[in-house]
Amino acid sequence: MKLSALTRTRRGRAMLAAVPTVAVIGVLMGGVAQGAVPVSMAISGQQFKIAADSLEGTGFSQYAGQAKDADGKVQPVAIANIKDATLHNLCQSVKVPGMPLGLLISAGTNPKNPVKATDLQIGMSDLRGTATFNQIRIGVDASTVNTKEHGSKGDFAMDSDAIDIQNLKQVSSSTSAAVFKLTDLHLKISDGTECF
Amino acid sequence: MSDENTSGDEASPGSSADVSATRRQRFAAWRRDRPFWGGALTILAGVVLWFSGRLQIDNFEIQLGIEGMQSTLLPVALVLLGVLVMVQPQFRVFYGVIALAISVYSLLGVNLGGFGIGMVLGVVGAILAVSWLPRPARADAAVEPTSDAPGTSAEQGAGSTADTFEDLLPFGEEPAKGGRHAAVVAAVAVLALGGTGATATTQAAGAVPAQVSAASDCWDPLGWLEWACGSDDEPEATPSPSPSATDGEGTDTGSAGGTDGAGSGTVDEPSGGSAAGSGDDGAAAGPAGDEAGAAADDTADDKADDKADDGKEPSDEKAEESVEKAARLELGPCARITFGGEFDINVSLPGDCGKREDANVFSLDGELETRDLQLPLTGINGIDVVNVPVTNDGPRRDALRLSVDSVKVPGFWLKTYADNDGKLGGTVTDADYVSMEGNAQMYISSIHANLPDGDDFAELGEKLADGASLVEILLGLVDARIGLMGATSDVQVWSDFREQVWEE
Repeated sequence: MKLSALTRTRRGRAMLAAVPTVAVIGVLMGGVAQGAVPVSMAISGQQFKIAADSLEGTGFSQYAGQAKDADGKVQPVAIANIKDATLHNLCQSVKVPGMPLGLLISAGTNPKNPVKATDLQIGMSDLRGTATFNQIRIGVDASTVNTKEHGSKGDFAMDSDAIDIQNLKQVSSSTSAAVFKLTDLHLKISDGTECF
Repeated sequence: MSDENTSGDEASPGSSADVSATRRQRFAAWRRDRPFWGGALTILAGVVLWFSGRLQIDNFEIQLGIEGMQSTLLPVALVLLGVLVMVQPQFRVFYGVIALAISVYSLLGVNLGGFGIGMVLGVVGAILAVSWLPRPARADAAVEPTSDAPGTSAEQGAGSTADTFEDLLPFGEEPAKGGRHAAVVAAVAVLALGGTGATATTQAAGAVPAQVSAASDCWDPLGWLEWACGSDDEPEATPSPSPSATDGEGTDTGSAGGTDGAGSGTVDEPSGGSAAGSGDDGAAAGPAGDEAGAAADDTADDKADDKADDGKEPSDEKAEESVEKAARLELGPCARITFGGEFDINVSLPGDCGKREDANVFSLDGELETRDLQLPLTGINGIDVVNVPVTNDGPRRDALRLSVDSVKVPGFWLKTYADNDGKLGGTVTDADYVSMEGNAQMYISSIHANLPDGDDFAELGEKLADGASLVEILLGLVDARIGLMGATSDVQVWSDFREQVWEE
């Protein structure tokens, strides 16, 4: 009876659709911001910067690859794979070229609640920090690295069981993660301010 | 899309039923007959989501893998649903609810719902589509077509409760549907999918890297491996950063395999050191001559001296012999020592005679330079020649394997190589220091070291005669350049490093 009254009008139907949707989105957003609900990210096509106080990961490999830059030109990048990564105080920024406009994402600011990523793949052109590797192999062929993803035969590559990078500063052209747990997520449109 | 449905408009008994209605009016009428804005916003949501992962309008690319599939499939699905809900308004609830679910899921699946924007557009669009109702039947019009979704007929009388929301969605009657709609839908779907597929194929094709063609015979980016590559007299293969004639001579004789005194000419230090050292009687006369040369401060003169003195340096010759002997003793017959070229002493392993070791498959050599390789007091645990599998330049090759408990490499500089679709590229890494601890192994394909001045040759010979390790001495030399095939260790620290990508 009541339902039919609702479905009779456009407004009623809209309410019927909107109320549960908004509720679900609210719950999901809360979950995402707490890191309880993982999200999937896949970004490419423009350079962006990533900074983190520390990155700890397992199942690391790195080899040469390619990404397209802003002009659609193919750019060489180093592709880094990390099976499971934990990032403290993550900052990620994109700047719209030539405009005081950008996107600034920060997460994992609480030391007890870091950002977690699974199957992280980053195409980077510049990486700085202090790194410690465990069971590292440098110089192995890119097609024989110990990760699920691997590079092309004949390329210089490296892999390690574990990686720990302090003061990570990175310029990337692509990043993707199947599972991204972004705790304390802050996403804001910035005036072009970048992480570093 | 505006003109694909004129038949429906003509059937509509609305304001201007004239066949001569303008294009604009016909579009307005067409729009009124379907949840136009709902569909349009849903399409826009798909577009926004699509580009949220790409961030660049003029740069289409498909990401492969699970994550990439979501960020490609979901936006495409939203666009299709937006089109479908416009073309087949009778299924608006079905399409709308799916669009709603996809939009909400995009928060998790596609870059936080296209950073919020795509998700909001999709949700609003889908709600507009779901809640859209056809214009109530007029007295003079036909009844709602029976093709409408069941249940909607009940709402026909409720059109009077118009509000702002409904104003956004002008009332309209369900147009008569024909096979034409289905054809349009199919065409759009095929186009969309075909387009995506085509892009994906191109991407895949582009992603397949070309074979390492550069490495066909002997891969030698800098040209300083000519002896290892067995190249004979190609002048262009000879690297001579300083275009002095002495360099060229030295390399040629060096690669010819002879150590017959000509090597002395290759000491390309600009100072008068080599000239002095070569002053017939070795060390004693050396420094004096050196100083004299330096005082004259005339490099041309020094060079002339160099040339004049070429080929008659008995002490260096002796030193070279002793170095070679020591190397044979230390490394066995697999290693080859040459003197000259850009570097004074070059150790290479051209053969295929080491002990087989298959733990790792190596690729192109990297170039390692260090400020000062510090080996621990305990020294090197073992130096041996192993034969390892490689993916370029033959199935296997020899490498010098250094085993140490720990090693610290200050002023670490490593350049690696890769083939980027025919273009040479790779990374350059420098670090304050790199330390390796625990079961550290370095696989070295070549060592090139400069001796600071001619006297060191004789000194080196003496050291070796006393039983010192040639490899250890060479690695410790300033300016040593090491052809690094690989390195493994339990723990490795790269302090304050910076890794950058380069391409030719």
